[in-house]
Amino acid sequence: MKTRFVGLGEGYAALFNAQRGGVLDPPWLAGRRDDAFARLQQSGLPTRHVEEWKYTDISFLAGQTPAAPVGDAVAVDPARLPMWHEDDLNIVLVDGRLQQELSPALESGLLEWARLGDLGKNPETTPVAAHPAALLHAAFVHDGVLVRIPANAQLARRVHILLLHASLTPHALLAPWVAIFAGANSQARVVITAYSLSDAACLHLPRVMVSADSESNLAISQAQLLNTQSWQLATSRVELQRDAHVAHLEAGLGAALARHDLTAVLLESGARVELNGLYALDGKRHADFHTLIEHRQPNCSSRQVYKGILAGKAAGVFNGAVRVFPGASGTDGYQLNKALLMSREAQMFSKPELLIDNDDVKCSHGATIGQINPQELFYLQSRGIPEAQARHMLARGFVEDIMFQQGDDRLRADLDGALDRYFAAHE
Amino acid sequence: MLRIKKLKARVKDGPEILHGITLTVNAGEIHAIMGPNGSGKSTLARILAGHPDYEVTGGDVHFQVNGEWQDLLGMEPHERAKAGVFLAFQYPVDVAGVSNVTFLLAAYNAIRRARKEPEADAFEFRELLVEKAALIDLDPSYLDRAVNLDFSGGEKKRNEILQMAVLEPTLAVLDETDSGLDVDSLRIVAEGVNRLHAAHRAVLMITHYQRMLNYITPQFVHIMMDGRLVRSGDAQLAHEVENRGYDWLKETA
Ligand SMILES: Nc1ncnc2c1ncn2[C@@H]1O[C@H](COP(=O)(O)OP(=O)(O)OP(=O)(O)O)[C@@H](O)[C@H]1O
Ligand SMILES: [Mg+2]
Repeated sequence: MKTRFVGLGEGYAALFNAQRGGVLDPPWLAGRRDDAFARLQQSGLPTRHVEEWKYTDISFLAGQTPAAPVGDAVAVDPARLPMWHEDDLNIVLVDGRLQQELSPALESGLLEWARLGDLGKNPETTPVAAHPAALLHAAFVHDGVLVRIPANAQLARRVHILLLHASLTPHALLAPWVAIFAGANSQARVVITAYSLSDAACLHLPRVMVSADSESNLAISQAQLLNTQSWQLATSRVELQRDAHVAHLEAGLGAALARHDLTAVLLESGARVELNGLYALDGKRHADFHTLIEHRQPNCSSRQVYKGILAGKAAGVFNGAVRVFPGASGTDGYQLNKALLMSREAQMFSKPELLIDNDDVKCSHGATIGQINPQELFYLQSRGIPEAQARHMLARGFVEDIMFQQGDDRLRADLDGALDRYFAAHE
Repeated sequence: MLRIKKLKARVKDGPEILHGITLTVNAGEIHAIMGPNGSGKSTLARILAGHPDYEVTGGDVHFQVNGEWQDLLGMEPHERAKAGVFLAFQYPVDVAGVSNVTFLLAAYNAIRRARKEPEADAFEFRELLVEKAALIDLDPSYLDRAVNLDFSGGEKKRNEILQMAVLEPTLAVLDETDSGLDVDSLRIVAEGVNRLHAAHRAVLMITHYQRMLNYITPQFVHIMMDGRLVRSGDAQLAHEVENRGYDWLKETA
């Protein structure tokens, strides 16, 4: 018989018990934590024989001994980070914990905020999903920040939430939680960056929850810049009310293995969501993007474009599901997934899933897997550009349109810096 | 400056296309190559630039760099550009996602580095580019557009001339840069070529039409047929071809 799940090693229970004793959880959080861990212990972690995990093996994590991020850590001076901008509304979490003294935005008066542990009730509207990343997060969540953008506010400054990995402890388990609540008719730009200062491998389990109230307009960007030893299992949920608009961009440029399950729920009519993604992988790195868009009400639109650059023996997975509920007439859905293979051994697995329960919908999807066009390459070389540089320019050009999606020059420059480092590693 | 001797070449794993081309181009000279469709003109041009589709099966090509003869065929395409060879493509390639200015800055600095000249920063380079673009009547907005993407046929040709003007090669190989141009564009492109032309540079232009030669006067005109240069002469030969076609040359081949 094929083993579909493997039991969690004892290290998880030990860490759970140690953490549980030390955390001052409000009752709802403690209950949620216990429940999630019990479920996790019962289910274990999936192997590749589970359809949802067909291309991504996380079962090896079950045998590891996760550690608390205590002990040595890299000193954190956010101002020295490449993506730090003094005039952003900066909020910093280090190794999963909110650092108020490093988060001047909290004192700015422009945002309402709360710490996870200070909340009287669960801000999440849905129960913890039967999903290993969601369960792991719920069981081990350390700390988190809830940011509320007041109704009608138009934030001129970006909100930048940095999830820093500083612990030098190998296999540190970090489970930060971020919730963004955008009030009705508000407008804001939020960037969430996961970044390793440490070279040690960590298990990063972030959860991001976004709620966009009616007529709000949000640009949410998630940049994953962990070191290339680390593993990330991320879950995000974006909920949109009437006529809300969310432009979500994710950039997966780090980690040895990264899986992101991103769900967008169009709860009321007139909501629009865009999910754009870009990623760059090399070596034996692996990234898996699972998106799910739920069209629950009429006249909503969704658009998703994911593009990846894969070098070496890297593997990418894109599984994009669009679900149209029976009442959701006038749905407009578009999905495109493109991969550029820079080597013979790189691999891409792409699977669209359209689950449509309504006749009056317009949904299309496409996927392409290609290589550098030799004619374009020769054209660049014929002008004096060496082959490696020409290949990088073409690969950079491949994701160019995604870089511009958020209309955020700062983000683009930061991602360009990360892409430059990625390309430089292959010269 | 360029010495092609008995050059034979084929498409990789394909039939032989060039059956022994011999041609010498000296500094300061302008040569034109004419010939029927499919005779091998572009193949010769692409081989000079180092296109990977072709394999040289005989002969050699030498190119003079700072007075020294070098084996052109042994050089990578980017090295040839750095040595001073420029090919204006018959069909310029469009490159999505890479802007004209990004592309040209990379090329310009690669060549500057090779010449041990200081590299330009993006700001000064844009000034240079705007100036050069004005000379060929190309709107500055084209500089920020993706290379050749959605450019009209004539705009692509002018963009080739812009690149040539920026990179200042010593040997410009122009493959039908005059094809598909309206009269004004033809004049602008020809002026661009004439501006570049100097005693230490040479031009090898492939064309089907005598009219380009009204603006740029070649000292030598060569006729290529079926992979061979069958006749060479002065500008008068171009007129003759225009009037009589190529059939009368077949016997001499
Ligand atoms: N990359 C290639 N692959 C296959 N065949 C090729 C290739 N390049 C050239 N050929 C063939 O070689 C011959 C010469 O082509 P070439 O493009 O050099 O002709 P040309 O003289 O430039 O013609 P035109 O005046 O139409 O531009 C043609 O028969 C062409 O089909
Ligand atoms: Mg041709």
